[in-house]
Amino acid sequence: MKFEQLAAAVIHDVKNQLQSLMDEEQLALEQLPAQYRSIIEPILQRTNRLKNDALQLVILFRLGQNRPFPMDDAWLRDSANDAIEASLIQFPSVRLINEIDEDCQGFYNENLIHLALMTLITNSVQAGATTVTLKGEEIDQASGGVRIQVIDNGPGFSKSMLDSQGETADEVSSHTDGTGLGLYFVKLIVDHHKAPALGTSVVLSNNAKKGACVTLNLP
Amino acid sequence: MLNLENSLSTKRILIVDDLVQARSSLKNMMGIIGAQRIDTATDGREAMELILENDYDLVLSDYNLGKGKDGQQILEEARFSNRLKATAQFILVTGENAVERVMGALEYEPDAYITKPFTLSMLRERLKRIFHTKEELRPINEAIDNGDINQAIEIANFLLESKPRLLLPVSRILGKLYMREERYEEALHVYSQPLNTRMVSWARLGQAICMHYLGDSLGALALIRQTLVDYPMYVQCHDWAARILLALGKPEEAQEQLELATAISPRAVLRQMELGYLASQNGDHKIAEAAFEQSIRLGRHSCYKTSGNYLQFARELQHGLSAEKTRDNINLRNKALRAIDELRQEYSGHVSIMFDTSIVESKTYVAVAESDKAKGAVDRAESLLARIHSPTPDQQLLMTEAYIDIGQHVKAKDLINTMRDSKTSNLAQNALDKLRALEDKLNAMTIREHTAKLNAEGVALYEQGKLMEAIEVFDQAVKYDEVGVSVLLNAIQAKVSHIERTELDVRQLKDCYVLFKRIGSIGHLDERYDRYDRLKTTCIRLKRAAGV
Repeated sequence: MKFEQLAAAVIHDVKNQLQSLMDEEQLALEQLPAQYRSIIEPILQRTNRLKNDALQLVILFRLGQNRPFPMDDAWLRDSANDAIEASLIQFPSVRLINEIDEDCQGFYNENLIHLALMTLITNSVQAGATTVTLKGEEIDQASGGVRIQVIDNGPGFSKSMLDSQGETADEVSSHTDGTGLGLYFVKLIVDHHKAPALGTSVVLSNNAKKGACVTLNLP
Repeated sequence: MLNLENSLSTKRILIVDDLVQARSSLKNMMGIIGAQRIDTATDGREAMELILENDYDLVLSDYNLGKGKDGQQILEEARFSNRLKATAQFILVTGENAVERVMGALEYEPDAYITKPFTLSMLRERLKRIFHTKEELRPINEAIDNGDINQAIEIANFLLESKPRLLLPVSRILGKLYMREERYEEALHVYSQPLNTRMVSWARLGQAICMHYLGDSLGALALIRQTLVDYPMYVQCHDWAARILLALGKPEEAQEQLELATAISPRAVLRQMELGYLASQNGDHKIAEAAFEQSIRLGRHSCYKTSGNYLQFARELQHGLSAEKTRDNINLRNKALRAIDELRQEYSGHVSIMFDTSIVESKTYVAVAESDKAKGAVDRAESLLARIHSPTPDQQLLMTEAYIDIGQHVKAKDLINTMRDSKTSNLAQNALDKLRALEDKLNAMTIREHTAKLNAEGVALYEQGKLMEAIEVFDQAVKYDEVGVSVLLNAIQAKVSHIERTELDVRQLKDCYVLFKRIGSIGHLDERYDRYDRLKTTCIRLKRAAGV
């Protein structure tokens, strides 16, 4: 077996084990008396974080090997709901709002977009946002192109980050205040949805009053 | 959007998962969102038993079911055996690593897939979408269930124009319908539409298949290879590459593709069978043996179970058998006999299959030189053939070959004559060729036996000093072109001895030279060389003495 295959299998197994661990923890949360839940909840949150990290590794590994993720018809509201539900385990006190229309249909890889949205929600919350709103619309019905926006009420992006618009994933991440892995990862995912002769983009902006907005254009 | 609770309450549902927790969790979730009639199965075998007994409206199956069949195979068997209507739904539950394989299926594709892990609300939302789409496709599927393919095509075309959001699901069905009707130009057009704006793997494969049927096999192959660069685990691409390569007269390359496909997805019975037959045809008996062994194992509890797999497995094993009593050889022999035993148990009431079984059994015993048992098997085949009302030429040819194998040449000749007398005009070219080959084999064997007998007789007369009588007998033997060098040398020896002991008979001497010419040259290392050389020297001396 090649080293790459072995590594992929191990990462995959770690991810599955973490998912099983989360299932067990959620079961424990349901069955334990209320006074014990506060003990289990942080464990669940950390497990969830680890699982998401493992999932990122799986995806990065595959993207690194230039293996495409299959795409299909998908509904943006459902993808956003999934991301919100998964994020609420991590951030139960944050207000997450889905304003996407029920019929908004796209053509993308659901797993990737789910993970991109979760990453952006995590970025917003870690930057200090208490409310994150997800918006979306169809931009090209024929190709299944959609635009997704993640808008928060946090401190907004710094000027250096806004100035790095349109640069490569590596350059975008170098301007971020944190590790930059989150935005780098989102840009990789969006780039993966590049349709023939059409571009994709991740646009960073600040809201007029307060907060940041990340726009993902998937043609 | 449709009311999921109402929709689920009337549906008969089957949930398949090998993990007890996952199974009961999914059952609970389905109950919460409105399902009332739910059955569960732990593996593919149990699932198929339930599907064969009941009419399900919805099957939710995990893709990876442990050791037995996977979810895709359950789907294939259910649709193959017409136990799942087009209006019924089959949803595969899969980890994200298997999505590629699930989505690519062109012939037996699931209605949808749900990626694990999911929560109750995720499941609810996903099912709502799936049911909504299925409802929109209902008119097409009803027409398919009624066997009215033209109407289904008409409705699908209408939906393509009126509901562009259904481009992918409708194109998928429509392409398949056109292909079923062999309308490849139209199918090609249908598959091309989504590809204008989207990278859809199944549409590329569909295009390639149409191109192949329309005569552009090389173009089809190039498109498949290109798709495989993007999706190396897309197993159906390997399947079709194999079929196209076979059509292009490249069976070895076709076999390579099928081997790749079986490495990715080793549990599909039909693919293993295809590989087995192709490898057998290519003379790669080890691969064929392994493929048929897998076909037997995987097909044991499936609708693809067939006596052909057992027979072919035993036939492939015969290629590795010999009369040696080594452990490997004994293992191979026992493997073949176990397959034959299983055939006897499973198909005891089927005379034709039992006939084939006895033939294969006799050949197995012949290969390991157990002649008594081989004869017993041939006797069984003979009595079974007598019970078949109108035996096919193939069956008669097999019987003939079995007779020849155990040395019952008279019976073989009789059967050949029977076939020639009664069916010459009806025999297909292929059967005629086989008949001729068997006749040649039989003639050669008969001649070999006859000349061996004459040789032994000649040697005995020679040793008794009855040289003229020995010469007469050897002369009869050497009339056959098939006689070997030893017989020819014996004939020369008898003639030379006669000349030396009695008279210088020029006619006999000339005969010796004719026989030497037939022998040709013999190498120094040949064990018969000394004798040949000695006789030749004597003949030269006699020739000089005779002045000829």
